[in-house]
Amino acid sequence: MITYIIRRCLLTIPVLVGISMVSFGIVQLAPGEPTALFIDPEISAEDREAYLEHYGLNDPIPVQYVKWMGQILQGNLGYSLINQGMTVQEMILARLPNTLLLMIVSAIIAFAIAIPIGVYSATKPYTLKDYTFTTFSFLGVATPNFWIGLLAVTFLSVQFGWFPTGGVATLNEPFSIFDRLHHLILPAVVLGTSDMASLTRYSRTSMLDVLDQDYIRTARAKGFKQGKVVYKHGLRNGLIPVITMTGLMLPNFIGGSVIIEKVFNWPGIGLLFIDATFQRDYPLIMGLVMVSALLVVVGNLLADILYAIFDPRIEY
Amino acid sequence: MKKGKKFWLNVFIFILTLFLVACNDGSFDSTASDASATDGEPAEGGDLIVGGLSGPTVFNSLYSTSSTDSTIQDFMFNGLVEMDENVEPQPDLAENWEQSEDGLAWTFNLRDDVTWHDGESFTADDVVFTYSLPIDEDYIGPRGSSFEKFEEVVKIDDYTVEIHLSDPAPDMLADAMGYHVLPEHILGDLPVEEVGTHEFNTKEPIGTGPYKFDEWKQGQYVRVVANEDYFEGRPYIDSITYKIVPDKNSLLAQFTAGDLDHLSLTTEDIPSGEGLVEDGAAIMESIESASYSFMLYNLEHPALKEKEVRHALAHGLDRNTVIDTVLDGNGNVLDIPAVPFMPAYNEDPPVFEYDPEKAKEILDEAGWEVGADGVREKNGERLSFSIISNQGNSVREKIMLIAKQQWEEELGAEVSTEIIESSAFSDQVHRHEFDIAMRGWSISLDPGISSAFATEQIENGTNYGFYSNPEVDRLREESDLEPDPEKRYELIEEAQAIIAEDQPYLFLYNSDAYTLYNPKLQGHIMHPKAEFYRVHEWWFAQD
Amino acid sequence: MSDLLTIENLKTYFFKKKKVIPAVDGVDLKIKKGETIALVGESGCGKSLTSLSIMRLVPKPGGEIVEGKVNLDGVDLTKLTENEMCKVRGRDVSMIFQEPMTSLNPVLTIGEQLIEVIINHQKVSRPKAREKSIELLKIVGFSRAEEIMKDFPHRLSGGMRQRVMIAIALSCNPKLLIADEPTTALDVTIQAQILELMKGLTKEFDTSILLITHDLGVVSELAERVVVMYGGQVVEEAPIDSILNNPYHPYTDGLIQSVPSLTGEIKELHTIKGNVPSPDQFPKGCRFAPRCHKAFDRCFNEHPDLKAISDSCSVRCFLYEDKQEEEEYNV
Repeated sequence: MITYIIRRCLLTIPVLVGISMVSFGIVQLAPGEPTALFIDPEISAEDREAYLEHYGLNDPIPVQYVKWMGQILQGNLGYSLINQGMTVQEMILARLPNTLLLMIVSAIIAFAIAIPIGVYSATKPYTLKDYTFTTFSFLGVATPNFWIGLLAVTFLSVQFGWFPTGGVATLNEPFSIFDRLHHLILPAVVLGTSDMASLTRYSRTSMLDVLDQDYIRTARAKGFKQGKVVYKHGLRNGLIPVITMTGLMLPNFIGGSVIIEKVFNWPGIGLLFIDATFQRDYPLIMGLVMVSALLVVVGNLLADILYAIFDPRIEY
Repeated sequence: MKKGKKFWLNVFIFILTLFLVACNDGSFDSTASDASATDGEPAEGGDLIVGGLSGPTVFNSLYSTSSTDSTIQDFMFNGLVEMDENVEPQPDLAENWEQSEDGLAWTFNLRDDVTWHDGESFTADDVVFTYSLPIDEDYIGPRGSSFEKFEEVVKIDDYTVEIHLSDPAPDMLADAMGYHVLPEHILGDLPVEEVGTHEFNTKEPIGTGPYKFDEWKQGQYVRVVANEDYFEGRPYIDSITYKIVPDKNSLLAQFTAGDLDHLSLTTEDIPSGEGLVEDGAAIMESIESASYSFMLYNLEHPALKEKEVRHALAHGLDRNTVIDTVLDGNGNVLDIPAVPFMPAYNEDPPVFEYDPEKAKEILDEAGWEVGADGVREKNGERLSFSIISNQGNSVREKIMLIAKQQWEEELGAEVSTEIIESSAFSDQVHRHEFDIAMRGWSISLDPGISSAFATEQIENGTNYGFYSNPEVDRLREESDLEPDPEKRYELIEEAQAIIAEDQPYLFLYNSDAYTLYNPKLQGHIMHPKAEFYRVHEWWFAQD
Repeated sequence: MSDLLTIENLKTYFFKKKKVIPAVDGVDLKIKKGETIALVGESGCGKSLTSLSIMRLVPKPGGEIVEGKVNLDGVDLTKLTENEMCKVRGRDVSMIFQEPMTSLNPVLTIGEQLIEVIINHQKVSRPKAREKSIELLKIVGFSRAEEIMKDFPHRLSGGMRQRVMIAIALSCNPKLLIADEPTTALDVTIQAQILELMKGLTKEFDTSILLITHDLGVVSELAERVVVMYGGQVVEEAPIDSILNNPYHPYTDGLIQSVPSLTGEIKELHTIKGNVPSPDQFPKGCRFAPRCHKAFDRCFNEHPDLKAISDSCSVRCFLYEDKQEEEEYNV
């Protein structure tokens, strides 16, 4: 297993390099450049040119890429072009923990709700309860995140005041875990809804399949009660395909969080990414691309490792 | 509780919520007392929470261009001169000033009672340092053009400074002297090209302003606290928190929930604002904004290069209806590149009333005949062009479509429209790759003719439409040097009339800017540019 | 020997979309303590379902025991609650299945799958259960029992897995072991080993075995008595020698004839013409009549009952109706 992990880690490097090249090319080739959005009409052409020269933005793309790569290899992600003076690293680090927190809590909530419901549906398929859960699942998948988010904010936050309207914590108050959680719940639940819905379907199907297996019949023949049969013998097997899903869910979380970040005013990397793209803040964009790519790759590796842990038939 | 049961509980709560909402008429506790703005004595205290869509980039007016930046910079810094709400220059760090006869030298007498936030005294050294930066050849920033005429900034004594110009600069007070003075004792020793990226700009700004920098939580908020030693007296309000809320629905939601005290409204949200005002939960004020919208013609287009065509198009667009439908009536039709509250505003320029019949006549006389497919033609050239607009501006998109519809129906033009992502849009405009572009300028408080109309700016500047009129160039140059304000305004107004006649732009409108704020907030002054004009004199009424 | 298991008139029907399928339609069976009975018949005759009915593991939804008694050592299993039944399963009655490759849980170790049964039914500590498990593995023939405990099922061959299943089934000393086609999926050589094992164990533990199979070779190895099923019902019951040498029911005769002989020339494989009827389409009258070369009119119109011919044999066939009457008359 250790060799497997090492091998995967080594393989990550060419993947990331490839991603960086493609992204760099695409971003640079898009029309527009960082000074395009300097809105004052009186900015002179010389000032604009001086700016472009200073940041090496007039060099040919491969040259710029090599320079950037050189920086990266020294561990330097570069400076933001728009927020001059701030390093890409500090801008990302200021927000990355918020995104990770949101993603992780969201995933936990999604699993915590989806799996029990999926399992329950599988044990009592085609009953009224099962159909009800199914309907809600489909509703969850079909309803856009931001609409649910806006509804949540409008009613639960503004109308009833049960939840804060946004942000990570209450302004100007000392740190409190309860306060943080209070701010975290709504965005995490909303972010998790569509994944929750598909996870429910997936675990239901997987469990239905498992409960049909011979070893379940064996377990019953041993005299175990339904609960033990389903949870000790069934769930361990049923969860295995669901774990694979987790790896696939990661990119969704990173991308999908943009909308949630907007609606709930959550300072994560999603919005940073969008703004950087529109402003053509190349170093920041590249930094974010690499961070996201790394997250996805690591996430997939984790999923594969978990898979091996859960399923003894898999041996690397 | 069991998983199945937990789910039903959630469903129940959801349905209950829907039910409660249906029964609720939408009103809620309003803690605002009588909303009259001049009650009682100013009292110290309170935290002013304001909301904006984007965060700052740098805290240094010589290196930034976004309006969010200038809002926050205004809390912490001062220029030598400040333009008040009537667009009149007022003393800021300079107590008074004089111009030499030939207009080539300005002398500023500085206040002697000002301290920097770190306790150092403000002196002429700071002024010399600051205004020498943008004229240094190593300066890398977007503000060089405001200081083009500066030759030298000289210290006369600790509180007197002389600025030598290459040419008279009538816009001196409104433009260059508004830039915030920077501390020489912190930045003075740096190589000029490094000033823009120093930590001062993002982490430790030190200014002379009414508020001191406290904290910037990226993506969340910027906080400033009252400067006890401010030279006009300690501000009443203890601190200001500028909350970064990237979604405008959230902004409004936060205000409604009482989490914000102040925000700018877009046209679409005005009805919500009015609702809040009715409930006594807000005060809404408006002012003509220092900006205008227009359609930019590319004068190299075979059809659009003809003045008659442009006149016809102007007659063919019902601008009043546009304002009524798209802006809900919150704007004024413009015919010149200026806004009514400016001192130089030609009241009587050539006006192109909405008159489709007249437009058709003009086109007929100019030789544009209606072709077989309904589109006009002249010498094999069709009256066909495209309009582009940038993404995310629904007002411009709607206007674009109205123009297309009216011009196609009445005038026999063939119009295509396209929405392009913002940065790519700017790029295309800079490269002159457009026929007509939906644009807007935010204007300086100095009434001078914009360089966007100058022939010399076609090559690498802001004259994207290839407009060139030697008369206008001459008037512009003269007015840029004319020291006497009255004479200057005459020259400017003359140029405005010519531009109106030439129609390099189809001038659309200048809209009103709306602000919504907490009724407890007193002392609020609406200003065409500065959202928080004289914020140190604002205060919260106590209950 | 006393009776251990008595099944009286067991009927297990399936209900699918308003159709009633009488898969087990009135089965009577008796097993004595320590006895090995073979339940024989082709696929679809209801033998597996009979055994599942004993265990009350009839697949839901759709299947149900509608009538009958299943009396195990004085207790009617059909009347027990689910919780009570759970105590019976694995402890008083155990079952091993046809597919050893899929009958073990792939994510649990062999040891765990043994230990859990022991702990479930007996109040012993885990270490003790572990000891017992190792012992059991040795008994079923594993020399490296300790190591096997840590292994996962996918590392074992089919034969080894079936041995594990047997170990699991016998772990709590059940009174009755139901073995549903235990060797069908295994190689012939392994088959022999498993059968030997089962024979030996039952002697040792005095367990009754209900062996379900369609393979008469297996029957002759293990069984003392044979019960033949057809169309959801018992059609013949007799001791092993009697049935092999002198089958009464034409179906039984056909089955025995169908076994290819290892000696002599084989010109053609003997088959029983026709197919097993599906349970929702049982013919009126004798269910075997359409395929029976000795059928006559009565067979197609009336349904024969199961009647005793001698004190050890019974048969359900009109051919012997007269003989029985004869017997009775003689007495």
